[in-house]
Amino acid sequence: MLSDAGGMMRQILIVLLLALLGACSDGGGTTANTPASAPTPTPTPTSTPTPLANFTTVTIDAGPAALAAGPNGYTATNLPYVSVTLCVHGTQTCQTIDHVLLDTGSTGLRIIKSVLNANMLAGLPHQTSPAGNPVGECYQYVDGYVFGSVRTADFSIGGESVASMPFQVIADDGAFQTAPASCSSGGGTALTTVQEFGANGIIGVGTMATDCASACMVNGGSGAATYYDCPTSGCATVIARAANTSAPFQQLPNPVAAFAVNNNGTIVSLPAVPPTGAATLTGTVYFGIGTQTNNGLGNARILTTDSAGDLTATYKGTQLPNSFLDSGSNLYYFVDSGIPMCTQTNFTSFYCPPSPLALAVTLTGVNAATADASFTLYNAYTQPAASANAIPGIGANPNAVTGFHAIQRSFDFGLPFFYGRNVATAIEGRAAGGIAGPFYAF
Amino acid sequence: MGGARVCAAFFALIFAFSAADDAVAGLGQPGASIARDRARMAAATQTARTIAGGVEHRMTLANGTLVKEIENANGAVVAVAWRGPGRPDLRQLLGAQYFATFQEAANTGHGRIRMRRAPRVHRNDIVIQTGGHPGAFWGIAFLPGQLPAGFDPNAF
Repeated sequence: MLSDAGGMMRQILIVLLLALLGACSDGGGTTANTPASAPTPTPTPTSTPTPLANFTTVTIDAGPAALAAGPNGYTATNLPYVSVTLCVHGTQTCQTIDHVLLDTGSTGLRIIKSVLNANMLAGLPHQTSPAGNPVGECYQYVDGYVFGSVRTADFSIGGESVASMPFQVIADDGAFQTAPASCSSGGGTALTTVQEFGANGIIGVGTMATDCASACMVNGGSGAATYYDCPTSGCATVIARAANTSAPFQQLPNPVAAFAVNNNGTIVSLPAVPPTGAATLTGTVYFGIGTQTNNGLGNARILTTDSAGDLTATYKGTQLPNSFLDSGSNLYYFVDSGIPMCTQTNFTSFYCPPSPLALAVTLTGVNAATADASFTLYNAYTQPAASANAIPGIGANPNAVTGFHAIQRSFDFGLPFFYGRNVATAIEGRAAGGIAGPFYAF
Repeated sequence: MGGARVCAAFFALIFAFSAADDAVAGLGQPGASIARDRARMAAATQTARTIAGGVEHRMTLANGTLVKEIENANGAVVAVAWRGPGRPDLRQLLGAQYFATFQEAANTGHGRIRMRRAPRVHRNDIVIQTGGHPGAFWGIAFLPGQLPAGFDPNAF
């Protein structure tokens, strides 16, 4: 396709110009969007390059309609959504699912059962255990857990795809109706509906290559995930599952790690948001890091993480070793007894500084590289417009506790951190920009 | 190692079928209950050391999770903490009563801006704080009125 020498030279020239442009930028992070502004080289007869398709649109809006239904209805805040397409393997029986949460803090694709249509539910095969029964899965989030079946589908997002990829059907019926005690005893809310979950599903594209790694590779083993053998009587026996990122799959892979190309990570690129917020915000997630002309790192700082995906944040002289960047967290979550919390009903533990507050934070990687992560904290009650679904600079004390009893070990940089930035998340064991993942870069 | 795991798994099974187990384990219970926690969670290793005003028990679970329990001078379990890829069996570790308290906190109401954060409990008699993300969870629970003097939750 790009076989003529003139075309090749043009490609190289564009790459060089982009690299220069990246090196000159102010760190505000626009390298992922620069191709449109690249100078036009001297025209030479060329073949038309294949348009890049390693990306898809990210939308922050009010969320799927089911969120607003009934007495507990609400609108989403700072939840980044993408659309994914699932097909019954090798057929034209397909369904595109919107409002799937793009989460750099977890791993694997999970869809709420009620979102899937009857043809899909009838056609999508279950993964089977060594005993010949369907496989079930429990997966923990910080606020609760999901339980359901593991099925396989031909999966695609943007221009990328994975054949017969395992994913979780949350709250599937039959043998999966009741979560086993060993699942629910981890605590938190059983997330079973679109309204509780805040999305039609979730696509976890974090630093892990599979959702349980070595912890699930022994019988009885579990990590964030637990896999079960599920005869019709229900799921009880915990089974071992291999951590493969290509067929034959067992654990749920990070979908990006399972792509044939552009499989070393993602770059989430979101525009800046005014202090009052925006009703709708649109950005892009690029697949691959430094693999195409549209997903270069530019002058981003690379901060390698520990095996759990954590960095160290330094905030007001305290080192917080379990800090992380997480598009699936909708606020900055951190502990600071010196900032007033909101007193209004249902705003307990949100921060309500009397005026915008500049906060200095430094992030340090395992590779000792550092990057400035400072931001302005706004009053969570008075600053956002009533119609805003994308709100910058709001935070909360995760445990609503101050003083002696407050545990200080983590700074969670949620979606507000991603506004106005390109944030790269590199997968464990995959190199990007000459550095081995896992890392974050921005 | 393999034999120990089979043995531990055997004990875990026995306790899994023992309905009375939850009632006699967890925070506020005698230190003897720590052995039941260890069996229930199939701990791979365990150690104990004397600290000011009590004993600190540590166990490492098969998946690398570190669990610590503090026994005060009266022999009661008054603090637990964990750190690992998944949350451990909190019904066992907190005991049935405080696990129910934790679950109630998980289901409290929401306002216009919904939070996605861990359940937490902060009362005079019990404090529970948890955090992290899939693959890296942590948490601590303690009974403030019964802690050994000088106990620092952050250091723990």
